[in-house]
Amino acid sequence: MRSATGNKLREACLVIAALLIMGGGILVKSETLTGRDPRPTEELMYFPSGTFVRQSAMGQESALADIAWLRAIQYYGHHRLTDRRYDMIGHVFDVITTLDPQFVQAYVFGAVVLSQDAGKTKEALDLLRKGMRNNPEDWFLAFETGFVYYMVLHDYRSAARYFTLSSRLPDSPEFTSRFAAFVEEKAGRPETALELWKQVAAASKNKYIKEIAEEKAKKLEAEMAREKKAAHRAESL
Amino acid sequence: MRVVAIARNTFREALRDKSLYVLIVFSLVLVLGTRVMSPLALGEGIKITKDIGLSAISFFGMLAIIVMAAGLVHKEIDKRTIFVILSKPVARHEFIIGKFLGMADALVAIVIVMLFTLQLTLLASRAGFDVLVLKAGFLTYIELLVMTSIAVLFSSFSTTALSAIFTFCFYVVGHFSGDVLVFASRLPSAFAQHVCRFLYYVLPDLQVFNVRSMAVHGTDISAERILAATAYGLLYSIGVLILAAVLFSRRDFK
Repeated sequence: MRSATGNKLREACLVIAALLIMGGGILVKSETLTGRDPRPTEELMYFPSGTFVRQSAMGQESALADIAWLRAIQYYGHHRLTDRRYDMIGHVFDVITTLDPQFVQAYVFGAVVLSQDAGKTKEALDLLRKGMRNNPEDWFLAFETGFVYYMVLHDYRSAARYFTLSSRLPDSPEFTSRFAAFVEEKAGRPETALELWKQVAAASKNKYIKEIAEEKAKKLEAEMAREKKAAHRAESL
Repeated sequence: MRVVAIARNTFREALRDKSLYVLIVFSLVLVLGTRVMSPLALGEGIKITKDIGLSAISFFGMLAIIVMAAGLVHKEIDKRTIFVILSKPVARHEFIIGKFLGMADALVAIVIVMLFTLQLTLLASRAGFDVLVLKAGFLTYIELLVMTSIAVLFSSFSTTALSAIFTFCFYVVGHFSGDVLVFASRLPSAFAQHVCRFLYYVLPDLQVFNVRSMAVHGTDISAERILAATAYGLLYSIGVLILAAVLFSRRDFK
């Protein structure tokens, strides 16, 4: 009886000791290791090339692309809330699309972030061209390319060409041919740009793309209202 | 009949193995966990569920083979139960075939449970029942059959640990066999080219069974593709099993 009690006591002591040791470990970790958030930029510098990861994926390329996609979203979200610097974003989207060449949303989101937030229009267009090479039947990629040409580069001729191409691809919605006509007739007008942003906001399921598009549309609307006001004032004078 | 009895016994033995349940639980948690990650995926939650679900079938199926099939024959030798079996009117090739079929049955159970959970998760996410996922799951099962036959082959003449290592090496190489052919075309020596081509045909080409990306992106997987891959997988497995039976029948048990 005494030995059974002694055993129980010894076990209880061991459990307490284990908990204390683990608690100590957690304390050390929270004191020294957490809060030392490594800059996501530095972290992503070690992302290997897409070709290398694809070769070593052993048939799990698509699942690895998803993991990289989740990392890319975290990276973008973190920088969007802090310094708005997106140094490694092009590399990460290149890795994702090399692992899963049919991942259309990765091309589109990558291009929006690169062209609108990172100011890397050439990289955005390269990513979209890679997408079109891998998915020649996808209307969305051609539309997005036209969009970048229109909004960022103000190259209305190229934009019209891509909008027309998009409208001719299978399953393209009606608005692609509408924009092709718009750009031909009303290139450079803020109404066309506003309509384009509104269309992007309505068509996208991606929270961040929606936010960017709505933000830009609001800005444009405010600018247009200001210009209208100024014109009215000039007329009344 | 004797083959069926050995297969049934192997299947029962596999079901008694606790590591099988650990693997199944892990994969189910992984599939269900993708629904938790879904809000972070910016509208790509369904894609991630399908990708991770199909990859889990392939990966955990392969782990099950390494854990269980790699020791299928050697365990019997180690425990000396092989003497009891072979002292009865059981041919050695029947023993090998029975072991393979028993493990194949256990793998059917694993794949069905995982596919069922994946489809349920998709239904719960309002993505609907996906036939393409079933097709990809079926070809993954054929891939697992090929790997099981290879595990049985190694198990028939080496230890459990070595069989597991060799089987895993074949799994890795099986995903690179296409590259061997590309490599061959760039070699200057004609002899080296022939060696590479020979290796390309001898090693299993596991990428033939990988239609997971097609299933996830909604690209149709044709019946011809499924039939051709199934025929390749079954013929390859039969070839490997014949080899295993020949090697096993040459073994001298003392």
